[in-house]
Amino acid sequence: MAQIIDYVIISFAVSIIAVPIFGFGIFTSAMNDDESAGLFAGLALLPIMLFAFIGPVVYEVLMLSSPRQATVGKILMKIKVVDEQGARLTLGGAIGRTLIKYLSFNFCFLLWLWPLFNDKEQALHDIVVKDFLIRDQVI
Amino acid sequence: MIKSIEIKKTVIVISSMTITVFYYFSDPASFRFGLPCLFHATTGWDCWGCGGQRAFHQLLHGNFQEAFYLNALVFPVVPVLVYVVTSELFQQKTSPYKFFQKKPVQISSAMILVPFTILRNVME
Repeated sequence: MAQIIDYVIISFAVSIIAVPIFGFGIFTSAMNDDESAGLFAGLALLPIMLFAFIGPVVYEVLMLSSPRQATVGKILMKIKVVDEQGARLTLGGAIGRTLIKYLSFNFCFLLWLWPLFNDKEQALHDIVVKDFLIRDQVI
Repeated sequence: MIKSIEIKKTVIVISSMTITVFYYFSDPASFRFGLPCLFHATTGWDCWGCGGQRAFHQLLHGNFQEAFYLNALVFPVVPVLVYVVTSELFQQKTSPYKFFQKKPVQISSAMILVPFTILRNVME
């Protein structure tokens, strides 16, 4: 659920940045030279594409290694990520966790269900980085 | 003042309803979103989750047979997801997922997932 909320937040941010595409589209369609129009559109799209791929990773890494130890979705769900000692994840740990998470979830989205079957409710990326999700209230 | 637990419950309800409405109106077969399955992209085989979103869309429209052919796992997975959502809404003192963490359940799940994945690729 936390992941879905974060996905909505990131999608919204990407959408705002992608709005100028429409302006570029009108501008390039008015250009007579197809090659220049294509190059111009490509250059305009490149940073947006990069942001769409790197943005979610940067967002998650910064939020997890922050004092809140959670993304906005996790804060709303009242959970946070801790390492084996119960401390905040290091920047390296947060980067590793996030990259493994995106790789494994894009490998098969049903891996989202993995924590249900794990004794400590750890997903694959939690097992690799040796971190835990703790709830504010129980468990 | 609104308690944070109330915010959590509201977020869960709104998110669940939004996703259900989204999948009802958006057919993943014609409108693709998100990255493609890396397992399918690299091997050409269907993983156990491939077709799940399309199957969920068909299930919401009452097309059970079509949903079954797209991904039969949608039938056990959807009730599990409903259980997860309701468990998070009515959080108990202990983990609501103890049942899934029992060895026989873990082994049974693996015994369904692995043959299902092999068979769906062999029988294609």
